[in-house]
Amino acid sequence: MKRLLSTDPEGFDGPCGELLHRLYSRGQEIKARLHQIEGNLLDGNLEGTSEHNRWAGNRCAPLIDDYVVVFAVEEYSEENELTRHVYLLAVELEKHRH
Amino acid sequence: MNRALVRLRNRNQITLPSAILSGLGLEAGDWLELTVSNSNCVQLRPARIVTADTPEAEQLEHAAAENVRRKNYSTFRSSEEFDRHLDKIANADVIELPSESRTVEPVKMISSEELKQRVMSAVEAALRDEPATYSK
Repeated sequence: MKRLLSTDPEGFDGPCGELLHRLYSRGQEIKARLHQIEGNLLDGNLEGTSEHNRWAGNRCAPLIDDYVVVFAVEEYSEENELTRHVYLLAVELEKHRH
Repeated sequence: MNRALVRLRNRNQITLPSAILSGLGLEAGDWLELTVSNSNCVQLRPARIVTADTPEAEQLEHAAAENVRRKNYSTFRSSEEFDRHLDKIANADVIELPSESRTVEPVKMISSEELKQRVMSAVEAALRDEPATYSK
């Protein structure tokens, strides 16, 4: 199976860059968690993720503190090869849940 | 509305007045979204991390979904590529955005004659007690 990871420049790259800048001392922690999320999603493992936006079918995974990564996974067949494509759509601040 | 003239310096840099920065709650390291409209207006607006389940978040996710549909995204085939991308965005000063995402509507200019006609039309409609109509 082909595995592809894509990031949205507006929703993911900008906010992620801002987070890495703001939490500079925790950069390695953020990157390690992103790699863990990336690996799990490309393996098709959605454990620890939750439905984020019912109408869009997006899901989210905890990143660090109250920040979450919003993502979508698409599986399709291209030139007779099954492809799992993970799109990292956004980094958002999750509201506190009581 | 706060207005200021700023000069474009060497290396394409401008200094934003501190009063405007503090009014917007901006500080060094924050991102600004720069948009150039069809009428050559440059708009800068804070591009902060948004809170989930808000209209701003919904707009951002909708734009991201549109970018997926149009294949406007960066794709990585290995963890190492993704790692290099993370390093790049952590140290970037500029992130290119798809040109069609969240554009500023250009201000439509009308002639004084057209304005006069619209006003007259509205006055006449008001006198007839019916809604004013005009073609855009």
